[in-house]
Amino acid sequence: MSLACSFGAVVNGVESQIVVVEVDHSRGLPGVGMVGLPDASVSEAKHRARTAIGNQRLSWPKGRITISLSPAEVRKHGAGLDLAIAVGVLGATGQISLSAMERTVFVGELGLDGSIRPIPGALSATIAAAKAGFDRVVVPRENNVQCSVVTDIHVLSFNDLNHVIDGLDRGVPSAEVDLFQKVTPLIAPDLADVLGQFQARWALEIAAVGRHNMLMVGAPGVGKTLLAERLPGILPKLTPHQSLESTSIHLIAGTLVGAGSILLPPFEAPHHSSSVSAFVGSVHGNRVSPGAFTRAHHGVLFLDEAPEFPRNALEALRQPLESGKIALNRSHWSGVLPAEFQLIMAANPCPCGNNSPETKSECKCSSVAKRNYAQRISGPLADRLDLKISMSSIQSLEVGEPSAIVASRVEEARLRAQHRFKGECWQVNSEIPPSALRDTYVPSLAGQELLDELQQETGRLRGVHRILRVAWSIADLGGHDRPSRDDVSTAIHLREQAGPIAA
Amino acid sequence: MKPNEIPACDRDAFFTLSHLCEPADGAVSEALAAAPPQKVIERLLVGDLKKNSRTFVADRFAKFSLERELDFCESINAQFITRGEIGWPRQLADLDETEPWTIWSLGSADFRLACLRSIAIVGTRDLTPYGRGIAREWAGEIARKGPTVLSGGAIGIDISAHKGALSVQKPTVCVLAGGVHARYPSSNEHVFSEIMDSGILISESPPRESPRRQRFLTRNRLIAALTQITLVVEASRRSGSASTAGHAHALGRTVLGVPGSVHSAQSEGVHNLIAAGTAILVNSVDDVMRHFSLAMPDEQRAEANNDWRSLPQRELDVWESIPCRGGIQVEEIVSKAQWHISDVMASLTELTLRGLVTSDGIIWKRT
Repeated sequence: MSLACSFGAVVNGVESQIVVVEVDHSRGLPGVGMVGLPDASVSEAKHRARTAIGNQRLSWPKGRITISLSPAEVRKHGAGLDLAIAVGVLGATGQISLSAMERTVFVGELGLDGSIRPIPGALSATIAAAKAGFDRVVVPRENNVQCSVVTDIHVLSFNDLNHVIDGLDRGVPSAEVDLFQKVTPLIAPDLADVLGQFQARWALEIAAVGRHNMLMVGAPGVGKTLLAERLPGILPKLTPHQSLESTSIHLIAGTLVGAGSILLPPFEAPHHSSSVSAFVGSVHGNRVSPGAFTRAHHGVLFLDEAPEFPRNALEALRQPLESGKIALNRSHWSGVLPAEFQLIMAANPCPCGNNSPETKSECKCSSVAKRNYAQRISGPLADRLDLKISMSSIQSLEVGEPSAIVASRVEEARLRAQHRFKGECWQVNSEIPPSALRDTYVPSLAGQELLDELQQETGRLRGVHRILRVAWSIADLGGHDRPSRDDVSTAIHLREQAGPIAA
Repeated sequence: MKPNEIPACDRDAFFTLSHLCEPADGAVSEALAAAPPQKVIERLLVGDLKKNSRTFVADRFAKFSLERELDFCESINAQFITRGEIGWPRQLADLDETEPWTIWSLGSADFRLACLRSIAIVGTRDLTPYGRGIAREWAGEIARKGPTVLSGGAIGIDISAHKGALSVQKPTVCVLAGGVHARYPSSNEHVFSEIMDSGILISESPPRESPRRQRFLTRNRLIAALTQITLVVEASRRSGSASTAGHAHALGRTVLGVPGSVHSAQSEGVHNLIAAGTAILVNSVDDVMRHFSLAMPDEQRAEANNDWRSLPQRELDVWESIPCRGGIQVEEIVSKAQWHISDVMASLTELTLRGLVTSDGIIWKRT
């Protein structure tokens, strides 16, 4: 008659939840019963645990074993609970001291030989364990480097089950971590590869400073994708907290190759045939696969050929653009996924791509087709794009500045903005709320005059707030205390320069 | 006291004439079309023009002292300008025979320049809250969009229009029926002094003349002639503003009317003007501005608006890199003008604002 309790973790959405694994060993017909909404992959754990324990020359108890996973109403999936279940059984049968299991979370998949294998949720489990106040977390060796970044918790790794017992009970050192794994090449392509395109480059730099959403319009081959791919390289590196979140998301999504962490803003470029689920994330049973929006969290979402995306996929952008979150409601899972990204869209001037000034004569699109194409990017969506530029197809051979120089300017400007926003609940210019733009973050007198003049001239001026936010970014780049008249006029220019698309 | 002599120069002669008879006096105006002012004064004095007023004119002429009047003008800082002088508003020539002889002004604005792009806002003295609101709001908005607001000095719509424009710190022109020194009505004195601070008061009666019934009507033709647009806000069936509208219409100026309720007596006159085809119905300041830009003669528009010669160097460089015919893309401007891309972008917005360039978003052209 013995009862032991160990702690594991399961992935819930893109975060992990601590699960209490209670193992009871009692007399009765030999067998294992598991309760607490396990799915097939969790149910299989008993087979893996039993074989692993046998192969490690530890003993699987005779009699009845009941395993309860709590909280019982949460559906559990994944092989990450294997280790916690095996340790629980070992504890219930006195093969590992109960004190060793205290205040420790075990995650990892078991091989039949007793080895501990990597799992997608190791990092999120570590984060959850640290948050819940545990002292230690045992993670697979391969996940150790990523997990060690988490502060306030001791991260241990062991080779196999025997090693776990030796390590926790007898103080044998934990497994050596392969340091070579730390070297993960994370180099974004360089801006120096792009020739000419002064306007687009400058817009990209401004976008990087204020995290502004941007639309680029230009004929095929002018370098829209080339530029967009270079944005992460000029954005500031992720903060430790952002890096943790991003790494954890990409581990769960299975899109992180290598054992390192994500340090640069992630870059997601879904294909235009993607469905809404591919964007917002999908739920299979109780398992959530983060979509492109969530994978782009803290990074860049690039939609090439934006008007070719299905209408409903584009409309799905609205919620994350507005709130930085996706509220997903499916039959087996409801919750909120993070999705704070910078949106970069690229579009051709028309369906055939020839409707640019140089090749207008070759364009074979009907006016209706052109209009329909332009209207694909709906008003509400177009309104959330702070920068709209057209890219010239004139080939210049002038080599631009390399990313490193631009990145240092961007970082300096960001610091200036962060200093200004000390005590505010936002960090970057694109997030300044309208009320603050009216009261606190007003442009210089000359800048305001220009806005007034423009309002007089045209009678209306759409998106004054967006113009002002961009003007702040330009002012930060120029080192001005407040947006000058020139800053404001450049911002106005950058909002209007996309021709008929998203006008 | 030695008898008065008829002054030799035109300027003094017109000045004298304005003191002798009513503005726009029919017989005098007719005579002036054929003869110089000196001759006309002579004919007045011998009773050749208006037999029954001979003694009256002679009496006035005997009491008149050119020097004294000029001194007085100087003492109150009033300016005056006579027909044909440099700086005389050319649009007054449209009045033909009834073109004024002398216009006195008191204030700080240049009266000719202020009237170059101007809109008259006129209406009843007996206004409703609706009319007051429209006059104030629209005057403010119009003034902000550029044109000068011009009106009379009466209570009601006139003064509301001035207040509206002054409230957005824009100067106005106030055309008085009496002299600029004997400002009437005195209850509006605080507004008059505000107008003098930034705008200007004008009149074709000598400074100390009090307004008379007849003078209000002749004054109306001046309001109509000085402006490109006359906007009637509220007018009852027999309102003086109908006369202004009539003058404006006869002069080929655009007359606009603000509609009101059919139950409102104060809108009846406006509705009649619209029904008769004299006035065009306008719904908003945007409507007014559209008619205004149509009514502006090209040369005046050019004079008032865009002069690329006054551009700062940076804007000038960008402007010069844009070809006279055809268009150019931003990238090309950058390489031609040799300015940083951000400077080029800023300049293009400035040039757009001045109406010098336009763009479809990709190609930039001169207008």
